[in-house]
Amino acid sequence: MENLTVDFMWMQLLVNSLALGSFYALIALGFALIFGVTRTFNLAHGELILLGGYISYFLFKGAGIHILWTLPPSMLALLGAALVLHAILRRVREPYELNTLVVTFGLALVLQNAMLVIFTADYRLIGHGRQFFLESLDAYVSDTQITVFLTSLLATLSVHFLMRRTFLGKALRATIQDREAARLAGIHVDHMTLIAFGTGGALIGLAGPLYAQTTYLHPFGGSEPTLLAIIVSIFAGVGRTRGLLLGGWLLGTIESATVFFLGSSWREMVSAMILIGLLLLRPEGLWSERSKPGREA
Amino acid sequence: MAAEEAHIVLSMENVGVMFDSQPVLKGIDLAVEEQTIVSIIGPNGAGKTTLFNVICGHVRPSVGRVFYRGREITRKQPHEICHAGISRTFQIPRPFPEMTALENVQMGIWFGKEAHADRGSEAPPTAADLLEIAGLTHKGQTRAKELTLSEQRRLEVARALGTRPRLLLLDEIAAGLSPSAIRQAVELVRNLREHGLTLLIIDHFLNLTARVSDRLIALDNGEIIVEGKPSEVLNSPSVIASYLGERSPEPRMAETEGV
Amino acid sequence: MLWPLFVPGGDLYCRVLGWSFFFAALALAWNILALTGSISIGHTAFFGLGAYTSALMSHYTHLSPFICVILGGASGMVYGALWHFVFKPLRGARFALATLASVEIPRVIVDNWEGLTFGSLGLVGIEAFPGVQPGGMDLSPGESLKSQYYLLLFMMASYLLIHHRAVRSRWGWAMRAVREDETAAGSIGVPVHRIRFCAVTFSAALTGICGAVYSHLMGLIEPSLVFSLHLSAMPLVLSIFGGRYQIAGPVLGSLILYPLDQLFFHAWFPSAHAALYGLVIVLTLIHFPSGIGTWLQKKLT
Repeated sequence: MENLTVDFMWMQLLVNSLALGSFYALIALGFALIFGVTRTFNLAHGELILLGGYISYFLFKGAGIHILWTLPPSMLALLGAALVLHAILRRVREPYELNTLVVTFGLALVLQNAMLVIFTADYRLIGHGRQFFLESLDAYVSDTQITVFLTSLLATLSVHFLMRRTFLGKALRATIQDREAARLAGIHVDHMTLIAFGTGGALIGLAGPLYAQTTYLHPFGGSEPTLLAIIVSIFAGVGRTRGLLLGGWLLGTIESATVFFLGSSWREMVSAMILIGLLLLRPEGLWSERSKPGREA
Repeated sequence: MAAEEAHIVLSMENVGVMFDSQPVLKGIDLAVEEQTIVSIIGPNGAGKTTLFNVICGHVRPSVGRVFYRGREITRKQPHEICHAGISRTFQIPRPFPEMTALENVQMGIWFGKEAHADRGSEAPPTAADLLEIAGLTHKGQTRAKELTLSEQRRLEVARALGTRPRLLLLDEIAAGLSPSAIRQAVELVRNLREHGLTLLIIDHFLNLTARVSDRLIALDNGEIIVEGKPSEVLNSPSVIASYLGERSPEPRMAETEGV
Repeated sequence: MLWPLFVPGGDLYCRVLGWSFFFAALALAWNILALTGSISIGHTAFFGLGAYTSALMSHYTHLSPFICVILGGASGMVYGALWHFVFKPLRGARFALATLASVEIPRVIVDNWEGLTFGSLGLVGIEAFPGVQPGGMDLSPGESLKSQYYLLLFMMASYLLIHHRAVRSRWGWAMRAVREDETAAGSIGVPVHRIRFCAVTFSAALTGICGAVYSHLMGLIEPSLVFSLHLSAMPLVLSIFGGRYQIAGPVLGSLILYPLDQLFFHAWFPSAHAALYGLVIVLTLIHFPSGIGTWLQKKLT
């Protein structure tokens, strides 16, 4: 009898981790694409996801549109927002990586306060959907978890095939690996940058509504998804789309376990420590071709 | 230490360096005598600059030991090695870009070797003196990033001299310079030895190294393949095979490119 | 600077100007690290640690607030030393990111260790600074705005003095060398690690003191207030806007932006006035990355 409950608990933990992890991969997808191609360090990533979430929330609650039909407007709006971001960041000077980090840090503050004015400080949630018991998995599963899991899988695999199987993907990957060499090979790097921002924005717009189904929206809640996106992207390494799923699942498992064993209040600290650990131990993840201190050629 | 080793300034014992599990230097043994000019030659990627980085503490060797005047300096930090009396220039010049030429040299004087008891009562050089040696007197107030490549190289030499080194490491001093600038460089190098310095030079420009060096060390694939008198090394079959054979046009290119 | 003595009734201006001195001090403290080229977006960690250490010491031991403030600075310093050793290999964007993440650790601990810190409810009734009588004047920063004004003015002046020493001394040149080219600095004998260590611990200690002073002046603190993105952003924005390579740059930034925020933006957009700082940093980095002072100088000549 006791053994049974233990088994049940582990299955539930596994299902939750998988769902959470897929959610993280989805959150990271837009960040990873933009960072990989353009070296832009977008600290306003989480705020953009929130923006998508709010758009979906108000379309859903206000206009009564089905949740799935809120995806296209959100994606379109965020695509536009990403292009605006691109227009701003184009003017940033060297050192580009650090300066985009600081500029988007400022943009995050602007967006937070703008959202506070427009959407007020109320916590909002689209709703968890139905929850039911799946005999085959021996665990409770919700509508939202299934939607998130499928969307994430679909989006990640689409990006993966875009990168691996199409001509555009080849050009994007070449740009990721070496901007200068790509330019010399006749690839229009500025177009690639634009495409990366556009696609990344659309992916952020896809993540937003699902975020609003999973987590409460609050104008100041953006820094957490930003950190999660960075963690998953560093873990995966630049240009490795499938790695995002793996990284998401691993992080989801660690976080689920943290919540389970320590309580939800320690989760943010664990993510922060994972991020610091990854920055120290996996410098080649995000910064493969960067010079490392004390190691000049 | 035996008396015959007393005039050895720098020695390395079995030094090896690995980058990402790739060996960059393997089993390097060398000894540099006081007041000599030793040149290190070898094709790109042979490990010449890494050797300098190991000596100056910018890269920690995976194995082996480095000695300066009988004292081990293997795990010392760059500034400690500088204070001991070793200074260097870089392959791509690295002056402090926002500082003026004069300020750059002054930095060397301020932060270099502090006590120089072994020099007796000789007054330390001033920044103006050093700029004059480097032929940059008229550029003293120019910001370093606005100088030409050749001027930046000479500025780096002046800054390095400001630290009052006994051993000076020059990385690619002649690359990208015009023939007349190279003649100036040769003069400068000879002058420095007259003043009691020991020099270790990396250069692709074989005419320069052959003219001024007392000894040549040929590196290839991270190993010393030949060392000895310039004429011996340059005529050695393995050097010709690994370096001159496939890269003979390079010394000529060094003459034509640049300023 | 001494006008509150003669202008009675200017309470609002007295308060705003006083706090702009406070944020100038915060920006000067931040800038001491920035002088070595490291941009931090996590200085609120030191601020919060300083505020909590000082407030809790005062709460549990009833030591004089002045002593507690010093201890608050020490706690910031310890965390700064930890930054130095843990983040040693990180530079640029990676360092900045690590500083951002490092805020979460003390914040979550303070949030959860309710037995010691009262958790997310925060700490109220923190002892105010006692009155002092320097040169016959009667100052009690806990009670009068004027005294608070002088305390903050004194604080900014001492920070400015330290900052001046940090820029103009031999140490200042060493920091500049590290900022411009770390490898070259090492090769000419600048003790790079020692310089970086001193810069980060000094900057952290001074920021911790700011947090501690804040807690005693406000009388209440809570984790979300003293460990906030806003407090990490403030010194960065003020410093970069004012000009971070100039001695008085951070002060200039604070004296312009904070009154602008409090006297105008706050009146126009009461709930979103903090957006001003975000907007300013974006415009600054794009249009005049070396700061408004240098930019104006260039425009005028």
